[in-house]
Amino acid sequence: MIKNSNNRFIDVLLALNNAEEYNQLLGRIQLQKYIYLSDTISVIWDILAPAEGHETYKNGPFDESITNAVDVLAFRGFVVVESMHMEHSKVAVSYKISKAGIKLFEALNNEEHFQNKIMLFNEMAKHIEKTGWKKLMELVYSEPTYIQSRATGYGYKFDYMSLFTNESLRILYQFEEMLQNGQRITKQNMLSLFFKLLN
Amino acid sequence: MGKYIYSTDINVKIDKVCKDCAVQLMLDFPEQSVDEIDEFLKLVIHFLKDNFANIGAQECILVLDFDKTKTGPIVSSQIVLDEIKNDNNLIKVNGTLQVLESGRIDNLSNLEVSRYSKKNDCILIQIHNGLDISIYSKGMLTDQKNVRNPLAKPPVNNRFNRTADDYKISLIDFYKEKVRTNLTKHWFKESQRILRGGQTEEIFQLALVQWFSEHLSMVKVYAKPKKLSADETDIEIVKHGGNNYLLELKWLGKNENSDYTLSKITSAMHQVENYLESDQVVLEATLVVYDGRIIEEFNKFISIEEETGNWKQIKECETMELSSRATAYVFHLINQPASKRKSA
Repeated sequence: MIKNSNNRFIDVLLALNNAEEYNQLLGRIQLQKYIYLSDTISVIWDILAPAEGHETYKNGPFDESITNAVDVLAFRGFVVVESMHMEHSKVAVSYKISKAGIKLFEALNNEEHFQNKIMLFNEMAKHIEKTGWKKLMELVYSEPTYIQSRATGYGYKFDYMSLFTNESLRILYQFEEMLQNGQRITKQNMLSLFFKLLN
Repeated sequence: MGKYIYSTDINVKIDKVCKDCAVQLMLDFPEQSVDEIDEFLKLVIHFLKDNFANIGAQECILVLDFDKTKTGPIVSSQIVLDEIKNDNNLIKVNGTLQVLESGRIDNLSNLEVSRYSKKNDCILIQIHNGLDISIYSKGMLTDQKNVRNPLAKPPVNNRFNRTADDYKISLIDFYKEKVRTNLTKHWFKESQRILRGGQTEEIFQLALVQWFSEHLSMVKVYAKPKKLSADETDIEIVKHGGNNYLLELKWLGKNENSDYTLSKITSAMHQVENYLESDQVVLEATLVVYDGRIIEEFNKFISIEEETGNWKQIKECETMELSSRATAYVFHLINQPASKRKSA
């Protein structure tokens, strides 16, 4: 059964828009990883992660909806498929946001509802730029929840919202417990800590 | 990823230690960006790594100001040295190491530095010797690092470090560590208790000056200062602020050419008293005697304190008695291995 890709249109658009700002093309796997990292940290940014998202697969966490969403966006002209080539007997492609896609993003950017998510993707892009876009997969392979679930084989569904299943969240919240007088760590610092954890 | 703990690349090590330290500091300042603190620490460590030779043993403090609106020149070793020359030991910088202002803490002891950090609610980095740093946050010592070996454990305080006023304890340290073990190479024929001839006194003097220079803090140590027209002391220790201690060195026993007896000590005592009389600024003068005679002769000295080892603090010798500003230490030169000795 094909999964519903509606919930991933925005994610794909934001990921590609940010990659474009740093003159990066994103391959299928990089796109999957970028969005996986944003899902993992989404609770801290007060964003509702998809109930059914990534699950363990060949190259780490994979969400079919993302592949469907990017293909649909490409079909409708919001995303451009570039550098299509064969790699290990498979078709490898890189994606880039189109001019129409940028206009769509600008429209989203005017909506209050999407501000948190836009900011999260922006901040994440800064960290990924610092680490190197080619290392997106390595970042995910260092992510505690993925490390723990990797041994379970293919098909393990990630639950990003729960402290029982999201190891990264649990570690990050432990930092907050070290603070006194009910102080809180800012969202930006939580994200920085997240990337320090992965690096 | 996650494997760099095995890497020998110093930049990777710096990244790692700064990351850990930045997180700790951010927990004290949760409203500040952990990445900016991280960057600040990296800049400081790289700056010191590249400039430690210029800064040398000059002690100073970098205070982090989070205010991004303030700017100034980028810190350099020249700026640091100029500030120290101007009697400033505290430099306030922003997160990108731009110098904002300078000031002074009268005393750079751990306690005072910690108090400053607490009072000003700030992060500061105390640079000890160009290489070793202590990082304070809100009065707490948060981390200690060596900028060339960032993953090494914090520097252990040298157990022989003393203040200038404790130079007499340092004198005993020197005896225990260097003289008693013959690291000074003073014996010509150890079994016959004959010392090396020619410049026997210089053997002890040079090694002792070296020892004081390494282990007394905030002092300048001079060998053979020609302070007095008629004579000269062997060692002068000048404290920060100008107060000084004088040391006169003598030896007893035989060397390849001569035989020095107790009369040498009494005349040295007169010499010490003369120094003190001529120079009223001197805090104290100490006669240091290395006794190469047999233990029975050494035991004839009357110690003013309970004897604890092969050295004695004396106030008199034969008919000569030292004044209140003078004292003398006699150290016996042992020629037996530790296993055969009865004392510590």
